[in-house]
Amino acid sequence: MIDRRSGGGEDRISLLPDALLSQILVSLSTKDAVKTSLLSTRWRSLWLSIPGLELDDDDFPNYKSFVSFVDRFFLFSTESTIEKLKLASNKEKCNPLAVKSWVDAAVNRKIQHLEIDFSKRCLGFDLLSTDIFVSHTLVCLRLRYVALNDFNRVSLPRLKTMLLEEVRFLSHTALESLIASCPVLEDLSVITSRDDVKVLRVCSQTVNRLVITSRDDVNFFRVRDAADREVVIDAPRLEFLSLEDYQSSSITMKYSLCSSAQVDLAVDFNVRDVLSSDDSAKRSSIAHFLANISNVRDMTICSKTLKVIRHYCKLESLPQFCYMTQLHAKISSADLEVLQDLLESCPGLKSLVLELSGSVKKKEEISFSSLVPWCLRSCLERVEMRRPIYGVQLEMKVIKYFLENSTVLKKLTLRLGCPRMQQESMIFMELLRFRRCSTQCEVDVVGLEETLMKL
Amino acid sequence: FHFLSRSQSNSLTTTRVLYKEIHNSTAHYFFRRISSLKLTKMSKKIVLKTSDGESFEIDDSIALQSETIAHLIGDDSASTSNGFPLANVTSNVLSTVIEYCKKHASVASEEELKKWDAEFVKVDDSTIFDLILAANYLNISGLLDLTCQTVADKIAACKDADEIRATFDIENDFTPEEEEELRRENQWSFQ
Repeated sequence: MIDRRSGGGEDRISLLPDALLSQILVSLSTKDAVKTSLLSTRWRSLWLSIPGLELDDDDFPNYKSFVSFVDRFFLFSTESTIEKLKLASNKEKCNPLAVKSWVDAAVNRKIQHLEIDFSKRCLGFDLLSTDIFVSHTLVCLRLRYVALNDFNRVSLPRLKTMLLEEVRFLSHTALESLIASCPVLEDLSVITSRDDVKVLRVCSQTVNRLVITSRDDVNFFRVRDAADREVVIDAPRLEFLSLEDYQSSSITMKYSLCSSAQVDLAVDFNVRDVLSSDDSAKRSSIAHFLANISNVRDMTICSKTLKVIRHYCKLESLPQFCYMTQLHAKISSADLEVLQDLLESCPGLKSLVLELSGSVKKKEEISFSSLVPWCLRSCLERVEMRRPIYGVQLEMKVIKYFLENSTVLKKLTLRLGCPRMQQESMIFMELLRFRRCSTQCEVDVVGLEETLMKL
Repeated sequence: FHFLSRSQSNSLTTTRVLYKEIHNSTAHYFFRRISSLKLTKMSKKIVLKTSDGESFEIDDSIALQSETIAHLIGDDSASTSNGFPLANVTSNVLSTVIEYCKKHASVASEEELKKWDAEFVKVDDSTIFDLILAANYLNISGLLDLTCQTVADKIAACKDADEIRATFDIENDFTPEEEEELRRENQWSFQ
C-alpha cells in the first residue's frame, strides 16, 4: 500500500512549472486530465494547454457536446503543438467533416501520435482525410475501421509504429505502397478481413515486428475462393512475426527469419482436411515456409497449424529448428502423434509449454517411439502442461514420457483440474510411481498450496 | 568437428559469436559478446559539484546521459577546478540520479530495465518531485519520462478531484459558486 499522505502536508505538485505539469498530464486520458481543473485555481485551465487529446465520445451525453468540446480544445491555442490525438467514436450520427478538420489541424500542429477508432460503430467505417500520410512529425499511427480515399503522396519520414485494423483502401495496391513508403517503420500490425486485398504484400526494409491477422468476415457467408489469396512477406529485419490466417493458400517469405527471432503461428495454408499426396505444389510451399522460419529461437504454434503439420510429416520431414530454445505448442489430443516429430526437429530445445486441447477423455491412444529425441537427452530443462489435468490415461502417458526420458529435466509444471481431493491424490500416487530419469527433476504442481489449505 | 555460425544483432556495438564444439557425445556451447566500443575507449571521469558543496566523480559515459552536462563539457569556460557546478541539485538527489544513470548505462535487457525502473520509483512523493525537477534541469529524458509517468499514474488512480487533492495535499481555493460552475462546464468528465 502506498502511503497517500506521504508528501508531509506540502503541496509540491502545484509548485512545478506549467511545462512539467503539462508533461505529466499528457499521458492521462483527457477525461482524467479534465478532472484536474477542479483541483485549485492554479489548475483550472492547465488541461487546455496539454499538447494532446484522448477521448471516447461515449463519455459525452450526445455528439454535439463532444464536437463542441473538441472544437474548444483546438481553438484554445491554434498555434501550439499537439503531440497526440486519440479519438474513439461510437456515435452513429457522426459529422465526418468535424473529424477531418481536427485531424487536419493536428497534422499541421506537429502531431506525433494519432489514433482513430471507429470499431464500436454498427455502421462501421468513416472516411478520413489522406493528409495524414503527409506528416513530418508522425511517429505512431493506429487506425481502426477507417476508410481512405486514394492518395498519391506518402511522406512519413518519422513513422515507427503503424496499426491498420480493417482499414479500407480504394485500390488493391494502396496498402502495399503505404507500407513500402515508410522509411523507418519498425512495428507493423495489419488486421483485415481480406475482402478487397487478395494478395497481402508487406515490403519493408526496416520492420522488425510484424503482426498479420486475416479475420474471417462473419457478416458474409460466401464460398471462399481461397486459391488466389496469398500473403507475401518481404522483410529482412524481422525479429518478431505473428501470423493468423486461415484464408490464404500460400504464405511466402522472401527472407528467412534470423536466429534471435520469435514466431507465433496460426495458419493452415488452406488445407481443409487432409494434405493430399498429389498436391506437391502445396507441400513444397509449406516446405519453403518452414525452411524460412527454421532459425527461430522461440515458437508458438496453434492446434490448426499442427494438424496440417501432422499430415505434412507423413509425407515429408520437418526441417531442423537448430536455434529453437523455447516452444509453446497447442496440440489437439487427436493430433498428439505430431509431438514426437516436433521434438525430433528441435535439438536445442530448453523449454516446452504444452497446451492440450480437445477432449482427452476419449480413449485416444498415443505411442511414443523408443528412440528418444536428442533434446530430451541433452537440453530440455523445463516442461509445462498448460491445461489443467484430470489424470486421464493420455495426460499421464505424456507426463510419464517426459519424466522417464528427460535426462536434464529440472522442472515439470502441472495444474490440477479435478474438483475432488480423491482424484488429486490418485494423480499424485501415479506421479510418484513414474521413474525419473533426471535426478534434479522437480514436479511443480500449481495450485497445490490452495489444495492443502482446504485440508 | 567444429562449426562456426555468426548472428548479427541490430546493435552496432556487439557481435555475438557462437561456437559449437562436439567432443565425443557431448556438446558445448560458448557465447561470447564483444563490445568493440569498450575495447578502444578509455573512460574519462567528470566531477560534479552540488548546491550543498559535495563533489561527485563519475564516468563520462554516465554523465553524458544528461544533455545539460554534455553541453557543459563542450563549453570549457563552464568547468572550474572543482568540477561542474550544479546550482539546482542537492547531493542526495544527485546520488539517486546517478544511480539511475548507472543502471541505464549498463548492459541490460529492456525487460530488466523496466522491472528495475518500476522498483526505482517506489519512493515517497517528495523524492519523486525532486527527481522530476533534477531530471528537467539536467535534461535526462528517460528519467523525466519515468518520473512524470509515475505521477500521472497516481493521478489516474484517483477516483475524483477530492482524492487527487488528498493525495497531493492540494488546497481547494475555489469559492463554492466557482466550483459549481466548473462542474457544470465539464460535467461529462466527472461522471
